[in-house]
Amino acid sequence: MSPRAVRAWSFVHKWTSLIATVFLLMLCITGLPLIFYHEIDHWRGASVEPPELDRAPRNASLDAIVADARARRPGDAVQYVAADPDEPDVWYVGLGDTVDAPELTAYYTYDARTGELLGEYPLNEGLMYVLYRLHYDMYAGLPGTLFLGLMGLMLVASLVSGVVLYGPFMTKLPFGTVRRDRSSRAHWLDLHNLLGIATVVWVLVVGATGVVNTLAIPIFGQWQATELAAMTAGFEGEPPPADEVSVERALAAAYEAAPGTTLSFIAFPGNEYASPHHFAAFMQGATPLESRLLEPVLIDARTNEVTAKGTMPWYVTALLLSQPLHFGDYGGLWLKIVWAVLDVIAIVVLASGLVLWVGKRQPASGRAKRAALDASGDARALAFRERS
Amino acid sequence: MAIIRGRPRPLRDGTWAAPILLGAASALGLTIALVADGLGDVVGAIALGIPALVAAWCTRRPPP
Repeated sequence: MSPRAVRAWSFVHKWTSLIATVFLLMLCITGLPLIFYHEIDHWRGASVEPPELDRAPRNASLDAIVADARARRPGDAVQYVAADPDEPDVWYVGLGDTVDAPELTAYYTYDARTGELLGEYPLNEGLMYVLYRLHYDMYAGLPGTLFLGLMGLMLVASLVSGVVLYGPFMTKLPFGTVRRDRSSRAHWLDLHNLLGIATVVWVLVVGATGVVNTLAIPIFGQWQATELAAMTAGFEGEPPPADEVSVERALAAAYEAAPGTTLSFIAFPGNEYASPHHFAAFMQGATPLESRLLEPVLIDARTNEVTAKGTMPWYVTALLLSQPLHFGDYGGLWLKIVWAVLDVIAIVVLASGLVLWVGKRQPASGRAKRAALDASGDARALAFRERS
Repeated sequence: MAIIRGRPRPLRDGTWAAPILLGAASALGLTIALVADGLGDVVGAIALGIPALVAAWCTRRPPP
């Protein structure tokens, strides 16, 4: 690589890293406990376990459960009912001020065998919620989310440039060298290079999928405006369904139309994921990979007939696959622990990059200059080596 | 020493051998855990943990 190219890539690496480092550190630090969101929720009692019962799962009437949820908050509307393959004995019911309100007002957990209310999830409170909001949008809504996506793009550029620079800077050193007996700068640079290159694929995947996740609202907006609109075309002039519609019958129709699948969630008529006339059941497949994807089934709320069934377009599929690859919640507790270790390593890489930059900006004594040459991290030193 | 005369050739000189292997282990771990349950999750976690283990080992060993 020519000295000019090294300087250009160094410029890209330095500035993309510097611009994004503070935000990436914030994302890594807030993301660390979020890896264990589910476990922490159970530990602090926010999520409840159903009691041990000798009874077949999902015996209770779903319509009765929805009626109970409505009775608890008469002014609110049920937005959706959700299920979790890992918790087959519970139903979750989400309510909002209106059926299409952007925020939930209540999130109930019901025993699917008895129909009893097990608990109400504490919405919008607690340390985990604060960490989540910082990580998700920094309390700035969609602009905050998109800004963090931009920082993710900076990370990707920083990683690519870092990989490009790794080769020229490491030709003198065997892989994994950490020169603890040399200058502090050489030590930090070796640590930065080693930890950075060892974890680059994981950081790249988590960073790139994080960028895709920041586009979730525009992506679903596009799906609603195109695919969902096409699936519900022809119902514009129809009267809306009566208030008392049967979600149980709608779900039975969805299961019949999509055999071999299980429910992820079913949106009620009027919700942004459905239409004014339809329930929209989002079904997931049985294999580990298919369980991450969604298959929409639209059910006429008045007749309980399936009117449309389709697959998600590529951009929604990309988003759905990006979620587990970003959250690390798809391989059990051991994968989460490895995810957390890699996250800590990423924090060290970011911090060491910052230390190297600060160290380079301080006035250099003769000793420090020698240390800089020790580090083999100076583009001019590299250029000199290449010329000679 | 990789450079005796002329430009360095990182691929030929082995600069990239370890990073490519670690990257492959990461990619394998990420993918296996996504497409398989049970044993696949365990293999995925182990494969993804290899880069972290190697990095930890390198930081602890004495410099050459």
